[in-house]
Amino acid sequence: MNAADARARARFESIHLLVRDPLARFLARRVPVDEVEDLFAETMLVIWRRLPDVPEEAEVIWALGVARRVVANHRRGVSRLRRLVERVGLAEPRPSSVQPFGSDPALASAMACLSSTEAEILRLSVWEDLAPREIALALGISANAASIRLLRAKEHLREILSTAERKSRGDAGHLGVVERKEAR
Amino acid sequence: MMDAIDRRLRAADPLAGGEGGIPTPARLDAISEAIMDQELERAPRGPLTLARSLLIAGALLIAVPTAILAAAYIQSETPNGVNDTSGYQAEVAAAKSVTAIPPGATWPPHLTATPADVGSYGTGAGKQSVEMAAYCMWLGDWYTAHESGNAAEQATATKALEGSRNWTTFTDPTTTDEEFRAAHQRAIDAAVAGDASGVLHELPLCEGTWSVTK
Repeated sequence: MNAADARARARFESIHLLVRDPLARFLARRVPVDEVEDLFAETMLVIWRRLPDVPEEAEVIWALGVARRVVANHRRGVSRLRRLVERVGLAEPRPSSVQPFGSDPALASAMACLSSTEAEILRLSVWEDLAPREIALALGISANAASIRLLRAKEHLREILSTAERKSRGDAGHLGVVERKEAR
Repeated sequence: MMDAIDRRLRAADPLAGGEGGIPTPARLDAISEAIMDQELERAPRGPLTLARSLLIAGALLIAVPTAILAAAYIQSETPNGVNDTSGYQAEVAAAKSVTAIPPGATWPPHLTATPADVGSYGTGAGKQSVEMAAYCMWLGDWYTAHESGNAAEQATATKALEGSRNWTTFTDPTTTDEEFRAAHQRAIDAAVAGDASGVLHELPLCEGTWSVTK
């Protein structure tokens, strides 16, 4: 092994140790369990090929930014494949990603109403515990923009949830009246 | 500080109940190890063999004249041509003079070409940059006006946004793709309908260099 290869190997190994666990958790939150290893490998391959670009002291965030694009590409590929499979009637469609809000369907519906960037900002903030400046690095936007958009995403989510809850209470009240009428 | 939304999102974290689905560290280590081995194996090493040298020389014999011809073609025959720095700046200045922006807003600093960028601008890029920046400023202005209940400012912004439907950036298929133009139309439709969440939904198109500078 020549000196350059040894240097690349050492740098990659140190990055691997830093990003391994947060990257695996990031992927496990976004794709089915059986796809985590493949997407981990794809992300690490990008990191290897772009070693000189990986910023010192920000390896994890940079890796999450790469993983985010890898997951997005993967979803597009799966979606195209699923459409093709459905069109030719080869198989039943299967879910393309994890259903993380199973315990909170109202939150799942509300998150689905957000733009993909808004939803991702919230996930990065709460699930990955990233600060706005780290979210900015992962998304390739300014720290100021990340702060503003995080705030707006929360406001937007809060608004959608409260509208849905008001509607749900209204519907329940209406149904209650109908039930009482029928009981008479 | 964690608020109710944070707590609710955290409770919905797929890993909140445990990390059982994550591959073991040993498997992940093996994956990275395999990547390194594979990539180092693929990388060319040692002095060039005669055969490889001949192949590269042959490829260069074809590639270099092709690149020169292609560059000459691009400089002279592309549908829009190429601008140098001064051409770009002249285009930006001309577009700024006829493109309104919200009261109190300023043009973003990226609308200035640097000497290092000479030759890298397609004709039309200056006008496109100005129109895109102005559109984003009006969209941000509309949202701010709506949030603050300033009906007059919101009406002005709506009118400006409706006017942007006719800007070259959003009508010329060679300038923007279909998805981009559709997002632009949706944002304006939302603004005209007074739909703040619809406008907010399209604001990400204006992220990065197009961010609102007011």
